[in-house]
Amino acid sequence: MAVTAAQRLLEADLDRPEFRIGVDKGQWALAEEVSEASWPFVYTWITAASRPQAPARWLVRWDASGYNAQRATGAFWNLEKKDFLDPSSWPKCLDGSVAAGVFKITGWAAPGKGFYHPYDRLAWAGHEAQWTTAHPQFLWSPSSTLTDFITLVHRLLNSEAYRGS
Amino acid sequence: MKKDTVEFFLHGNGKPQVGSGLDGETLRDVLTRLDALPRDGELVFVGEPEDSEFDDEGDAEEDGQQPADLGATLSTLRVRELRHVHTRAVRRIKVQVNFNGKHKDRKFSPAATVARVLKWAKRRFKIDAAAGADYVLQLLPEKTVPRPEEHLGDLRPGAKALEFDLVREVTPQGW
Repeated sequence: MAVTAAQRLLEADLDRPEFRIGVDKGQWALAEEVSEASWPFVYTWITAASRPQAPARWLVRWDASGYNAQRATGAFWNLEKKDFLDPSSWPKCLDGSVAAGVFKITGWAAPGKGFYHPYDRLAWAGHEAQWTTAHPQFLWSPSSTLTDFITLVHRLLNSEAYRGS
Repeated sequence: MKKDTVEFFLHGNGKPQVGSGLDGETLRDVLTRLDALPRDGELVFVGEPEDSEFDDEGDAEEDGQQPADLGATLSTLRVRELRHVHTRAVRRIKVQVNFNGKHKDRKFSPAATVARVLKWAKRRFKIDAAAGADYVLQLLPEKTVPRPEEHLGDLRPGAKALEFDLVREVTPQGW
């Protein structure tokens, strides 16, 4: 299977200092090397703030097809079941917080299969007009990278609004 | 990679990049090779300032991080542990943060991260942790929200002052 341009572009982005600094600081890491065999899926561990009975890190599966002409979509992943993490096991967050909004598992088109945020392809669909105005800082552009999205998830998993699992 | 090779993140010479040198090489020689020597009046910092500097009630008015000696070796400067080298830097960046019509300012090292400034700002404005969970720093005048790990010196290279609004991030809404 040939390496696609999208995969090459993503690998180049993951080799940039912005991603490597996060790895160096223990904020995130690739769970497995990006490969043709698993493309367009990419797996990352993202470290979370310490909370009682909660994992130290969460596994996220990213679907990077079409990268980066189009947004990726990501969701928490169950490594053993090789499936989306059951929505009941997604991170719990302070009601009304941004973290609770992004990790919400009800009330939108793809609960438990994407992050409810303008960076996410599944969430973006249908919100283009509304979110272009409301979230100009999160508009996807040619300079956007998966690291931006990973950084967002890391930030939310380390905010005071994050309550654990 | 040879055992005595040190990899580090180089800031201040365009976008952050990964550089390398030998333990026994001087910082000057390494930066010369990377075409990243500081020019007149510019400085180099190694590492990031310690958070502990404003963990006590009496916040220091200014970061204490000192510029690096270009004649020192990477080993002496502990580049292997500290990981970040900031070249072509100013000594301090005066940061002003605005919140609810009030302003606070402090001088930070250009090697300080946005996360460090956010932590300081929440303390100075007495925003408790839970209430402040959704607050972010918005760089003026662009109104962009820099990533927490970005260094102040990378936001606007050469700038001696930066201004931010401390704002509540907007939760995405809709179906």
